[in-house]
Amino acid sequence: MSFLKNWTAKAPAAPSAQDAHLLPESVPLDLAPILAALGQVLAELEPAALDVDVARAKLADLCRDLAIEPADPLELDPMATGLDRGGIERVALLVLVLERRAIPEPTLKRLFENRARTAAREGLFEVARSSGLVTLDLLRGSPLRREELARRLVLGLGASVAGESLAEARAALERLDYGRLMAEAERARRAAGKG
Amino acid sequence: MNAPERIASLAARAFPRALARYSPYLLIGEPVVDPEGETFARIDLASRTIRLGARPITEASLEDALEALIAHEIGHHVAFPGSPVEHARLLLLERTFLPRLPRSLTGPFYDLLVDERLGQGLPSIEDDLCRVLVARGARAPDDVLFTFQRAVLEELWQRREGELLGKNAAAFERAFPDHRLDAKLVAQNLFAFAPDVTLQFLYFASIAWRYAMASPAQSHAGEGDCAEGEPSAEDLAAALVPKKGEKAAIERAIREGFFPKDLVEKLADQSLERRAGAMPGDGAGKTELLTAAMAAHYRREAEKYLFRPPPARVFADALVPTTHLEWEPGDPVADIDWVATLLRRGETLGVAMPLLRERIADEEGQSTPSFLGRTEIYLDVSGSMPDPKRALNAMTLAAQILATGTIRAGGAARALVYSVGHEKAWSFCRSERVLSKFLMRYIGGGTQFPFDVLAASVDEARDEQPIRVIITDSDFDANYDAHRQNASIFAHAAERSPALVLLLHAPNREKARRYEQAGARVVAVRALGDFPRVAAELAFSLFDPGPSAGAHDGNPSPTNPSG
Repeated sequence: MSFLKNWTAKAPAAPSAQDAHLLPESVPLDLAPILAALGQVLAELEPAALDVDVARAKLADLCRDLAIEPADPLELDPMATGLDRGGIERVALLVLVLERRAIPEPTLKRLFENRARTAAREGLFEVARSSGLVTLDLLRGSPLRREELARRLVLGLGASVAGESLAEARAALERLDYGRLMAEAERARRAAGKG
Repeated sequence: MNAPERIASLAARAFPRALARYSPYLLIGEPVVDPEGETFARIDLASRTIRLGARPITEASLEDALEALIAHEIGHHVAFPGSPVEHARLLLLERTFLPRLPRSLTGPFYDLLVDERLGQGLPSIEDDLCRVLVARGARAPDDVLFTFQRAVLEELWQRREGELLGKNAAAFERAFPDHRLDAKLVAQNLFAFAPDVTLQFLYFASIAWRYAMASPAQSHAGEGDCAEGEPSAEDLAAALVPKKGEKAAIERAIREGFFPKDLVEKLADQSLERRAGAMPGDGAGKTELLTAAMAAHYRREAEKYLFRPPPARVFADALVPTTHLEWEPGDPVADIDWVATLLRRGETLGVAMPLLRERIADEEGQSTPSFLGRTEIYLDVSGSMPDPKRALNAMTLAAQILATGTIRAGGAARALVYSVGHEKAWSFCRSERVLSKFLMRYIGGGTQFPFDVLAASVDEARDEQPIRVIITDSDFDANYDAHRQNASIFAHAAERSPALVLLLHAPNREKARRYEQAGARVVAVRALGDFPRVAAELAFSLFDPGPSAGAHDGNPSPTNPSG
């Protein structure tokens, strides 16, 4: 342990007021490798071992590997607040998918550089929070659920799906939205019960 | 080259590619091209024959989609349904609780499972599968259930809405405004229940049965489906009793609320009566099928009581070589006569088709035991017992066990069923099937034992008296007392028969004693459910020759039956 101040260490940067803005169509992502990585991770992971702190640490490692300043852990804390067990599992799952380099490194760097906080919030934590019905079991059993999660990840990171316009990608996600489907089914069931 | 020849040539190239999507070791023949076939492709599940309809394929320009067509049919053979018995299970399940559907759900269900699996394969044939579906849809525009099936695949494969529905899309949307929601639910939930096929079927049925109700009736069973072949009586018999996995799937479907309450009550009841009543078919054909299937079911039940490892037998050494036979897998390899095989068939053919040399014992009569046992069965089918075609009748099962036990031991049996009248199969018979089917008969009136038939049988048999077994209940006492000569007929039969056995349910002790004093053996059966076990024990005690079988003169010496 050094008692001397490390003059070479950079002082922590002050939190940026606003992350860099990215045009989604400028970052087209191929779904196939993301789906393949998702399948592999689902087959290998141990749900009980998934942990939000480990996920944040892995995310930070990923950023350092890309020579990017990771998001401040204090800024990530509020994002993880209120996540239930399912949400934690989905966050950890998505981080593992990124760790597998399902997205090529140059593209990943574009997505995270100067916007690591936004990418983490909207690409990981919000995706995990908004897909509450999509459990790990459902993901394992349904290719459609995996595609839904993959599309959410892509759009949440601020990218677009290769070969589709942004509107088409959003329409495809809406078609796959499991929560929306379940809500429609419940409405239909209630209407049938009343009719 | 005409169309059938062209299709045959293309199919010969497409077949190995289609087979490779499953396994190159599958035992299935190359497709047969049917010049007059009306459907694109069909498979007979029993014979495993794939037929391609040359004319419809040519008219729909599907010559380049043969791999997809053939792979789809192979999928029915491999897994969905895989065998006629598995198809019979789902068919019976469907018919036990759903209203009578004009069109069975099983065909579209199998198609969905097959196509879902094929859609994941590489190289992708999804586009070809879609072309086939659109072409089939064009030929069956009124088939509501098939249209719904295509909507499910649109959702599963995320195709443009209406791509597979074609011209039907707008009309279908108007007729069934919720069909898109239903299709999404099926596409997104059905395959998550894999590999529990029963649960998947129940989930599919919970949504699709309304579309089946709106479909036109089939002119014959299986019309519109590409997996053909009606389940046989043996298949239905094997499917009559639900397996543990099926029961678990039914419980889960009920627990998760797949169906409304009125259907749940019927679904929960998977008793033999309900499943027997769900046999397919109409009118006389259904009655015949029901009888044959229930007879097969009783034979299967009788098997459970009859199986026992055979006692060790001592044979004279089989040393004398005799004729050559074709060696078949399962025969002892040591019996192959390699010298004769190589001399007659050469090295190449010989190793593929070896010859077996049969050998017999030097002294005749010592290689196999001989047994000429005969049983005469009198079965009470009065109204106190259920119709064996509708429910399990313990007395009928007991009779089946006795008949089968006799025949398996090398003997023959004949039977008579009686109530107020009687019917008889009175030639001694060695066919389990024939007797089993006869014993399914039911009269269902009062009880009137045919003492006149018994008397005539004793006179007719002379020196070759069979063992006689009467399976009845305490109503026999009143029959015995009805006329004075009945007691003497009974005593005469007991005296002349090697054994006259009464399998009597809940007998009166005094009455039972008088039968024993007349020379009969009374086996008391306390509970109806004990009849089969007791009958099996009786069959073994009467007809199991034991290790010293070869020393007897061929007539069994019955031991005291248990009871």
